[in-house]
Amino acid sequence: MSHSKIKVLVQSNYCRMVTGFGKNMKNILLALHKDPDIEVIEAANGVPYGRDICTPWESYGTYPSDQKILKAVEKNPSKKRAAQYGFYNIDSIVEKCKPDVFLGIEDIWAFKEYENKAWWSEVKTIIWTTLDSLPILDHALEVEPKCDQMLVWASFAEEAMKDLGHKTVATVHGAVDYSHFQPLDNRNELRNLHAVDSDFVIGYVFKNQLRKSVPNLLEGFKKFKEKNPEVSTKLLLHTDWGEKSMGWDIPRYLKEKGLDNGEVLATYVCHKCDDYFVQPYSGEDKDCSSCGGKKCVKTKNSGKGVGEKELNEIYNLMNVYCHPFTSGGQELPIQEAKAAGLITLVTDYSCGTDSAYEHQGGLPLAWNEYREPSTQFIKATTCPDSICERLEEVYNMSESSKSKLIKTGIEYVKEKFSVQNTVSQLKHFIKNVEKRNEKPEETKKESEAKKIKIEDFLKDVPLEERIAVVLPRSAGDVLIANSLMENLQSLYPDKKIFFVTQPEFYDLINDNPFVHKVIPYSESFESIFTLEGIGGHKGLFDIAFLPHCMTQKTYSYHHNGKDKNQFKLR
Amino acid sequence: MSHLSEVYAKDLGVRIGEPIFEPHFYPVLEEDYITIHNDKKVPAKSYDYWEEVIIIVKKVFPEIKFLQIGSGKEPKIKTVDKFIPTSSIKQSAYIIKNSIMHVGIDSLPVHIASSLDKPIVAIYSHVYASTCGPIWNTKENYTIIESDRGGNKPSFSAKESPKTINFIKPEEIANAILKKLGEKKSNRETIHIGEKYKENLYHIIPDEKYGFENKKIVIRFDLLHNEDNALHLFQKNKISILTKKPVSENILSQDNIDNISYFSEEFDEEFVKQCKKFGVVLRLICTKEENLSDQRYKFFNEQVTLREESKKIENNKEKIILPEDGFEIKSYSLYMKNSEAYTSLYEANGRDNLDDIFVDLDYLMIYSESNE
Repeated sequence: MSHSKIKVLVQSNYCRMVTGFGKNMKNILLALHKDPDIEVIEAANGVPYGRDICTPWESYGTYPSDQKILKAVEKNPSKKRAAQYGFYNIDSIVEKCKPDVFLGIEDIWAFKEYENKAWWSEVKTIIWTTLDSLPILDHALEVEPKCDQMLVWASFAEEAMKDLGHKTVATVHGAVDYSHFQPLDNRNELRNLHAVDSDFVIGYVFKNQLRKSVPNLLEGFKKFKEKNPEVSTKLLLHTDWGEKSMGWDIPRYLKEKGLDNGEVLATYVCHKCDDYFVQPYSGEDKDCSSCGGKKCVKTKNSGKGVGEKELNEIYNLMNVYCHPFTSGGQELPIQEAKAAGLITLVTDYSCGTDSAYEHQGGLPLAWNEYREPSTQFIKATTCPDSICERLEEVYNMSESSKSKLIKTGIEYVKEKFSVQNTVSQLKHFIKNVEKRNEKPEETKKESEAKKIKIEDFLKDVPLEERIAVVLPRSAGDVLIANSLMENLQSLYPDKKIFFVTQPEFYDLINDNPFVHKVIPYSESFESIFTLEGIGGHKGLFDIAFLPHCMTQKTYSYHHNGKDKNQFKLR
Repeated sequence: MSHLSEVYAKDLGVRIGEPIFEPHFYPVLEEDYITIHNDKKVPAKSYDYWEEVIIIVKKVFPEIKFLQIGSGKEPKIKTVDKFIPTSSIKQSAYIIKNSIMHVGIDSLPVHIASSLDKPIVAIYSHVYASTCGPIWNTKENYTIIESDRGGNKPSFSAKESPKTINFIKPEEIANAILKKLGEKKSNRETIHIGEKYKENLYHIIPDEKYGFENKKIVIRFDLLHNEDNALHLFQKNKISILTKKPVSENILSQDNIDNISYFSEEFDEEFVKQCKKFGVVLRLICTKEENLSDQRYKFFNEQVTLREESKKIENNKEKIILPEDGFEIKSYSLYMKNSEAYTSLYEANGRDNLDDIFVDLDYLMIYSESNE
């Protein structure tokens, strides 16, 4: 007997993106695809709509490929961001594949106004999001009752949501494919290969962002070195050292802290042959000693990293993993490090509370609270003294205690963060989610159009004598409008015509003696109330025509080329 | 009819008159010339086969000149007598004013030619011609050719794939021009133009060492896997490779490999790894549909696409019927085999197997010419 599968549309970072969301997407899709009860469809954020992304499952890019939309969003940062999160194409994808369940996996602001979409009330909706700071974002509190199930990546967020009355929120950790991460027997060999000759290598794997507490770690490392001069130690920062605009200028901080370049290691990746090297940082765009490529070796970045096998080798170069941060959604490297057999030192705020304690194979790093100036959120600044103490604790730990803690960590990751565990939880929600009864609230109206000052062009003619003809583009249209000006003037002999268009079309109208003045077009000319007045606003023209509204803004005039006129227009 | 001019006229409440617009002098030495205009600003409007149109017209009227007009940003039509970029539309208008005819896509020069009452042949596709065609000259003086769009309505989109404007055959446009010049139509009949017809590739079947420099080369190891005859090509050309089996490290270590297309039912994992190691862009093309999902799963980090040659041939056979009394083939690409250059794989294989045409169809123009 055949049975119908549950169609699940999953929207998140494209599954081949080397981001936390991208890796998670890859892991869950590979697993869900093999489930006989589920038909999975990917809505890939970051990929243009219409591109064949060659996945084993049906898939669609969500980024607009329509030039008109791209042009429209280009100048508006919030619309551009919405486009990047797939806001403009998700409707047609839903229409095309008619899913039973929509599973959205992104930061919460990616789903802004999704609740107002026509399909939202028809499809079972699950939002699986990262909430990393207190107080919980208002938008998350608004979205939660409007979706059928909200899932969060960290138990810290679940608890906070529940405290605020959102009782059905549940935690599902991001899927870590820990099968690539394990302790290796050839650690010494690897160290010899990369010429890492220290007894105690402290590691940190991270995207170079300001929320990763690099200065705190450098200070803690410095203190550890000062207190334990006999220990041969190195710090390995697997990150994008070249990223200075959005992240930390690490070489500058090394200098500031008085740390020797040779004490802090970087990972380099060849963009040609994919080989990697661990060595002290010495700039970007270096030649490759492996394939001979020129200027193709850089520290790892979001566009080019190492493979998972190689990343496991990098973890295996370390003796302890230290992850100080201000807040975070899940911080996949912490789980990868545990699976690779490392004791993890983690700030116990935000998602860190899922990884920082002994029963989780970790040790907590103490922190102080501060408020992020732009958002007012509570953030953690990790204490360098605590970093130093925990490093000493691990360094001086007996082998048996170490082994016990490491074993706990490996088992904890396997139990709580594995793809199998995450997918099995997801399947439960996919198969059991029900529609809520509440209707989404009405949306707010859009804000008023911007007002502009164009009076300078109009001073020589009294308001009651002004006619505007607004036609922003294009060349052919302006020439056509040119042919109407003589008759327009004869219809309004007491008025003067102001023609509004883009300067590149002036040549096509400025020979016409019936046009009093040609004015440069701006978006302000799109409001008829600005132009003709409303309430106490007297307006700028007695009459304003916007003939392009039907031909360029709404395309409502074609009528298959079959409509007729009962009167002659020529 | 909902022409743009009528929409604007109704909105303004007036009748349509004549535009007032003065062309600016621009020196042109030619007489008896036709102006031609094409543009890629709106890609869906741009017609790709103007070269052929001119060739057909010139076969009958070799003395007539074709002058391409525009701002200079437009792609040059290779068979025009001269491209005259001007700094203003008023100068282009002057050149149109002195022409015997204007030919082109839906754009401003058509409207200018119309306001100057010049004969016009204009082509349309992504919008209805009746909504934006020429309006000021007499009906007898212009010919509008509108694509059948494969039976569809207009896309109203700036980008189309495939471009429906290209559904207009070159001889349709050429015949309209010839008619306006007082001549009967040409004897050309286009049977097919492939979407990639204008791609300029050099396919090398490596049966010997061919010498090329600064070309886009496609080494066809899928037809003959002889690496020794191909090695010298890598130094000064941009190379793509088509292969059905792994190529050696000796090839992978060469510079200037743009990509390798690897056709197989099941891919060799070692070869895929080797390509990674050498930083080569690899396209995995699965030749068996049943294997596709598994191969995509197995090589998840690669882009695996499907191509079944027998299905491709069958599908392409449904697209065109080749005339029994002969046909000609043109292509911008070349095949090198047996020390000779051929315009197609079909020619290179001695015109023996018609299936070769259907394998290559995207890159070919096929037409017939009657003897009348």
